[in-house]
Amino acid sequence: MSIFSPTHFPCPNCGTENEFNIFASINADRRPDLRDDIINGDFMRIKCTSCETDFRPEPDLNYLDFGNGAWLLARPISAIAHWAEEEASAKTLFDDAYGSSTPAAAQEIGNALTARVTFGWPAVREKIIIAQENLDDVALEKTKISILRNKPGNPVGPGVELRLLAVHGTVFHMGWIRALTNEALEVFEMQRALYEDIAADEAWAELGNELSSGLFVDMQRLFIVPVPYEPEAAE
Amino acid sequence: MDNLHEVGHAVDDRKGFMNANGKSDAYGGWKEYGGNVTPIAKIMADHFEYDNSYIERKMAGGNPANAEIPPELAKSEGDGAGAAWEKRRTDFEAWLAGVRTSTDVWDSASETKKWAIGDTMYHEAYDNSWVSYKVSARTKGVSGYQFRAPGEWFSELYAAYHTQKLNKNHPANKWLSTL
Repeated sequence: MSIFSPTHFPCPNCGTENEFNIFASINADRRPDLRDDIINGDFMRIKCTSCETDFRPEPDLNYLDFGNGAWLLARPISAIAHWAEEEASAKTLFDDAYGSSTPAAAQEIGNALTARVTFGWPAVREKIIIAQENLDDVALEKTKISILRNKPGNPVGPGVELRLLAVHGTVFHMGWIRALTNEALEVFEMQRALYEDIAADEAWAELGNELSSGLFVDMQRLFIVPVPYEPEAAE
Repeated sequence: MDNLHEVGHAVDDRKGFMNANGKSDAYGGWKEYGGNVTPIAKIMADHFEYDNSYIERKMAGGNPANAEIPPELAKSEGDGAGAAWEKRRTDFEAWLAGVRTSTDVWDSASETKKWAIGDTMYHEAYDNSWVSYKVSARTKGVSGYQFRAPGEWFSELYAAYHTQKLNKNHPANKWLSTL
């Protein structure tokens, strides 16, 4: 169904070792409650048994939502520096599961999935929303670049990401979020028409090709020069 | 492995494999009861020789009053009837506590053996969702988790097969190679 294992984590406040069930995989078709928990921000949120501080281990799991056509390899935010190798690993993982050497039934499933690699909880959450809302994540990333170029006062900074937070009718709720803490620095509304106009605009096609050249479909791939893992540090 | 486990679920769902085959002993001899504990309660009432209604209500999460001693037991056991009747109740309650989903009983071969009824293991796979399977199927198991529920049985085998961890002589190789 969804695989988890008891794992020890030190509390970031008091250092007490806490044992929690950490998920290695999620099957959202069988456990839609876990998908809801991710969107609500409750997933894997845990309380220290000693000082009762709330904290949340970074994601390191694979996520399957066949109903919404999504497969994600969700990695910790710290791995974003190595996104090129992570992207290659994700592709290998996906191909091993759904590629040409797998059973026909698995290939049929894989053909209906959009595979992505993400870093940190805000990115996982966003991809799940994109899949639920049947949006094109490449077009959304292009739209973010437009916002970055044209909207004044963006709180750009290290570890700060622009994310789609929710969709209500024709309104996209966007936010500048600290990836590690999920703190919202700025939340604003955007009309869906902007996203649709950019999606249909051929002038954005070349940038779209660059954004979608791998499984890390995120405008940060244009700005972060990937650093190779040291051989002994590779996970 | 975890990724392939989830692929296994998707393949099972798409092909309806366990729905079609899971009842067969070759595929674990699974039965799914969902929240309907009535059939299992009847079996446990016979096994523990205790009140069917009490057992069913207890399995369903209720807190029934202890059942009265049947007249035939009072007659046959005399002064010891009360203790004998109470032992039957506590034996049942020990079984129920041992097979609740919170125990992860499927992970333990010894606990499974302890609580199985003959060659059949009845347990609560998920909250208020009951299953049974053939304990003898565990001799061909690839993990304890495989015996949580029919879908897990399939997915664990699927993952083992596609990671080349399934013994070449395992009978599941044959049907897994045809999927």
